[in-house]
Amino acid sequence: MDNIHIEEGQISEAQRIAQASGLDSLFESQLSYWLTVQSIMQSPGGYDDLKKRMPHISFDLAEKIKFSNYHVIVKLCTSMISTIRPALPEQTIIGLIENSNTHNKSISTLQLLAS
Amino acid sequence: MHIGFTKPLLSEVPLRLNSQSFGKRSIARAAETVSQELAHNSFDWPTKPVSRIPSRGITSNDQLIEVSILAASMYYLYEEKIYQGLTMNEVIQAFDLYTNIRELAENESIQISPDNAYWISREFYNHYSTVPYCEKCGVHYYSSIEQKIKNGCPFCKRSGIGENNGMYDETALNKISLAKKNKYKLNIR
Repeated sequence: MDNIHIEEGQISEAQRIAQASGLDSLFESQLSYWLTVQSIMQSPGGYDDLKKRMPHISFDLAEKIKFSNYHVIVKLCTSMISTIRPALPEQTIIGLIENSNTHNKSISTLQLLAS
Repeated sequence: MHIGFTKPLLSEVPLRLNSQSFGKRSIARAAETVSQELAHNSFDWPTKPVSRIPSRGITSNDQLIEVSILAASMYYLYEEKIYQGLTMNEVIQAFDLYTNIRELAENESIQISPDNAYWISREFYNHYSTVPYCEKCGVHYYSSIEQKIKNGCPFCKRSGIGENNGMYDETALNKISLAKKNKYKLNIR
């Protein structure tokens, strides 16, 4: 019991746990997902085209995305965990777009963990 | 130790499954062998020793949300096993998920210390606390007998079925007052 050694690997592991680490490629894929939704909605086919490719997205949400600016779409993306449509309920995503509630981010985090 | 568990905690809890605790002297000697800066110092984490019943410190909704994120992380990884007891390694795994995901929540409350995380896991084991599911909000949240604020979902404030603390639950209060009235009626007959 007396011979405890702390190895180099354990130290780097502790540093990793201590630091929140995102994944840039995850952020980029989420951003590209929402920008794709927006671009399909802005195309002549509109929601009919979107339904064929992303059936999870309702008309209301698609309309919100269509008229959202880049900053709002960026808010839907995070490098920490996936937040694309099947992972989060639609009401939460609409809440994030409209920024209607101060706890939107906390709700979405807990919903991701419950999904 | 690097993450921020205090020496008294590490010296008295079994760090591995079915192992014995190391004791204060062993932990103190191990600490002497560390030359690099500790992780919790680098990131300025809270590490001060805490109460063994951390739920008593929950006095605001933001704190309840913060603890709920940790509790939901534990539940996400280990589900009902949290009530059978988590090992130190499992607490660390849940804490790893919590440190990562709390950035997304942008909650205003301060981060939970690793010591607190351990004692929260013990609360689940001792059945002082549970992680009920709110059907309206679709979230798992932390619920404890000892918390100082309303026991319910931190967002819609509804109490779940089988909550630990029904003191603010209107249905429960009505039932209690009805029972008292009936008892009074019985007594005066």
